[in-house]
Amino acid sequence: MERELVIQARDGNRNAFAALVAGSIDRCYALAYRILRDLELAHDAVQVAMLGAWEDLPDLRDPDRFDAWLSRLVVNACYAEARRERRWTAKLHMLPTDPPTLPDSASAFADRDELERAFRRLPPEQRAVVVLHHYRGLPLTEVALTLGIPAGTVRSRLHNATRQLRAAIEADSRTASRTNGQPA
Amino acid sequence: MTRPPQFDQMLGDWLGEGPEVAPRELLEAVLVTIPIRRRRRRLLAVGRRYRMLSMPVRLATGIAAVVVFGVVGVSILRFGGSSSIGGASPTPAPAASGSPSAPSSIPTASPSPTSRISGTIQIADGDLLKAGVKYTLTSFTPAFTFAGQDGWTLKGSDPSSAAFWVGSDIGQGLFMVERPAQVLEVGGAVAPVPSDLVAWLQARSDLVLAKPTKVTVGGFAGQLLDGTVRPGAQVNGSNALNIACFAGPECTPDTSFGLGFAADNHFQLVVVSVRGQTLLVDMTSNAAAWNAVHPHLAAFLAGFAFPLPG
Repeated sequence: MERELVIQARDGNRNAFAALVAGSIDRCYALAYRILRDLELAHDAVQVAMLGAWEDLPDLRDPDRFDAWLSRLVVNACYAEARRERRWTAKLHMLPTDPPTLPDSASAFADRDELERAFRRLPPEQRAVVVLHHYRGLPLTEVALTLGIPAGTVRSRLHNATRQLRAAIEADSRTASRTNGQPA
Repeated sequence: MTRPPQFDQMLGDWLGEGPEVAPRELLEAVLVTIPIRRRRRRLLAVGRRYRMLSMPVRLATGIAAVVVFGVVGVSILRFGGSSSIGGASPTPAPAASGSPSAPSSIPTASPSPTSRISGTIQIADGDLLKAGVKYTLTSFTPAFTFAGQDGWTLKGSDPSSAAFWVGSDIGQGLFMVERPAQVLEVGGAVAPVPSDLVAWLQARSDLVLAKPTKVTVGGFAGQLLDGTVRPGAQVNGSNALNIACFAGPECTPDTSFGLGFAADNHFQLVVVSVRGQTLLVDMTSNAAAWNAVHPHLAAFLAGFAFPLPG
């Protein structure tokens, strides 16, 4: 069904493309939000990607690869939004100078908070790999196909991203242990 | 050392939080825009789209509707109703041999006939430039002409700003002309544009600037400041320093549309007064790319002219 829609849309049928949009926009939005961590930027990225998809669809040779192809457009739009954000519409993150002392029950929330901050510090290229692998559940080879980059690059990006995220959590845990009077 | 338990599980759970359904307005905005999108112009209105996307969706949708009606109206007037909107026929891109009557490449950026300047090519957002071609940009006020540079694209323009990029990353090279509406003081307070913009820039503690040098931009005298962001300057969460805004409902260090630098940028700012209007020309790239990019930026600046419309 989707294959037929893709072929029709590729041939210029706007109604078919509208049906494809309606069927895929939720997935695209969820992906964009997780890369950008910002609802408004995700909104813009998806809109850019969808309009780009309409323009570039004639270049899609294999209709069965539509989902992966669209995901790549979304990811590329996220890169552009992230870079635009970096210069023009950046968010201010005030980092606390002294981490608060947290009871154990709050440590999970602290981990999430630290994860959020650490994730936002990652380059968008690393975020995309993390999201496609850990959120979409794609194997690394499929991530590579989706992004159009070598599998080795995917592995190194994932490795670097994971290392930084782990380091952030571990640093947070050490700080919490010290402030609780426990050995780190 | 305390090691986070089941890190991958925690990461997966955390990523799983968040919206799974797109807002209805997003779907509507895309569906409204598709009918007026033509194919075969991949760079069409990239910059303008960014601006539009920053508006409320209803406003953007309204503008799209106005564009639809406007295009229909123009088509009826020009072609007696025989033209199809968004059809398969491609719109010609700017060419070196183009005449002053060459059509604008997108309807939304059509300049007024009185502002066309003889011997140049009209340019619209998204157009890729060619070296050796002289262009006119009329969506900026005042309109200007300039010499093209291979690989550069007009990414966005409106009456108060025009931005040209090279490559896909803004850090690879940016040439921007703008008419600032407000400035951001050190610390982020919004203030009116000072009468002596050069002195104001020099007084900023978060910039490292060389002494200003005199330059001529399109026949108008200006001052050029070469600089970088001072190490340790208070930048925002994206490692950027915004110092001026040219438009938009808000002007903050975080959400401004205007002049700003990444901490690793090298830049040159030109302050020039053109017929009573203070303009800022920003030439920026990553510091590492500066030597390679600067000749192109300088060529842009040298090729400028601000002819009177008509």
